[in-house]
Amino acid sequence: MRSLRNRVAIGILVALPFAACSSDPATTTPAAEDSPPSTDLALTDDSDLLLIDEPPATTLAVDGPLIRFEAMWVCELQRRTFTTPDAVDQALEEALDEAGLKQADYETFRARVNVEQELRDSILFAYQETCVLR
Amino acid sequence: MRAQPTTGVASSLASWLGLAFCLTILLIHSTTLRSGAETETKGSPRFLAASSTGWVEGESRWVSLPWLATEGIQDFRVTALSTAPGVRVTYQQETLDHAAPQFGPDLGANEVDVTMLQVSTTTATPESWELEVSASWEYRGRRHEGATVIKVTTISAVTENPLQPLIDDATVTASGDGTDNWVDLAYLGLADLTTNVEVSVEGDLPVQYTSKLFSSLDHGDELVRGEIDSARIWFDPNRLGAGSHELTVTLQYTIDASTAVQVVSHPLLITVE
Repeated sequence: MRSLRNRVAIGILVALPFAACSSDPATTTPAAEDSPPSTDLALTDDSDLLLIDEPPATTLAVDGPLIRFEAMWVCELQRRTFTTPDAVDQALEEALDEAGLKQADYETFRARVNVEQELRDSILFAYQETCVLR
Repeated sequence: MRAQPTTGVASSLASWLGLAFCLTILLIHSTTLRSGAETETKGSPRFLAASSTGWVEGESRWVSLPWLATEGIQDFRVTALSTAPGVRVTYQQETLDHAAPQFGPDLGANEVDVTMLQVSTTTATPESWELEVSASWEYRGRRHEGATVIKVTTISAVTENPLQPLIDDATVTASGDGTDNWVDLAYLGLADLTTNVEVSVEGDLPVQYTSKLFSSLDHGDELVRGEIDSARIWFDPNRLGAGSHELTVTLQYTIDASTAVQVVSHPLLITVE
């Protein structure tokens, strides 16, 4: 007769292969630097899809003008072409002037975007309002 | 001998425990698989630019491709390729073989940023060609990639029309809520400054404009050279009737500092499905 320990061990051994089969490589096994890319994904340009439901109100109160400017600027950038990269910087300066904003403030603001989720959500919402939904 | 029944009960209990353990493991992992499939998005960014655009032959200009990161991604890179004759794509000096987002290669969730690339054409470039845009990024330690295609219409450099239409046909549907029946008529500005743009359709047709008698451009009423903007017109498919309809679109605008209003027209084929 098999011992109690053997019976439990058999149960575990039966379960382990299932466990091993269902592990998610993307989340549990980081690939090596030189591993080949995963299957191609179609990038979408479906502007009808809603990008974000609603903005966080807290950031808008403080950074409203810069948030609206950034949304407008990205929208304008994608509709324009430029003769040189410097012409892009010049157009940005002109747009900031027109909006009554300072270059230094804009640069400080833009540096915060990558680390503040609320700011990104607010810009995306403004972009959706001014550029996508119109 | 008295130990025998106890061993039997213990043995049965052990079997049930083992089975219960197996089922629990299976349940946990089937749940993990299902939620994994739902959340495994590979961090795919969204391409926000239009899928078609216009280009003046022989020109070399920098274009901005906007992207939305749906998840936090790292080392986002964009390359573009066209096999059309005379088309060449180059990148900024900092990266040379790819374009990176303007504000750094890593993007936070819901961040919108643009990548710049220089597209050059020659007089040998065909009237219609495609620019294949590839992107790659790192998400949760793995590299992913995707691609999309932008259809480009080459505009003659000697055209006299400073407001070049990029759309000459569209389809509207008789079913649905009618939102699909707004047609975006895109125009490329070829003058240094085109202002007061008004777009309308000739004849007494079942259309609706963004203003009472005409549609203005979506993003202001002026275009600088190389800028593209659209005017929207709503077509009533039920009153137009099924089939194809050859219409004429009228454009009114002023050029540079002039106050003289110029009027031109272009054909538009509307198909009702």
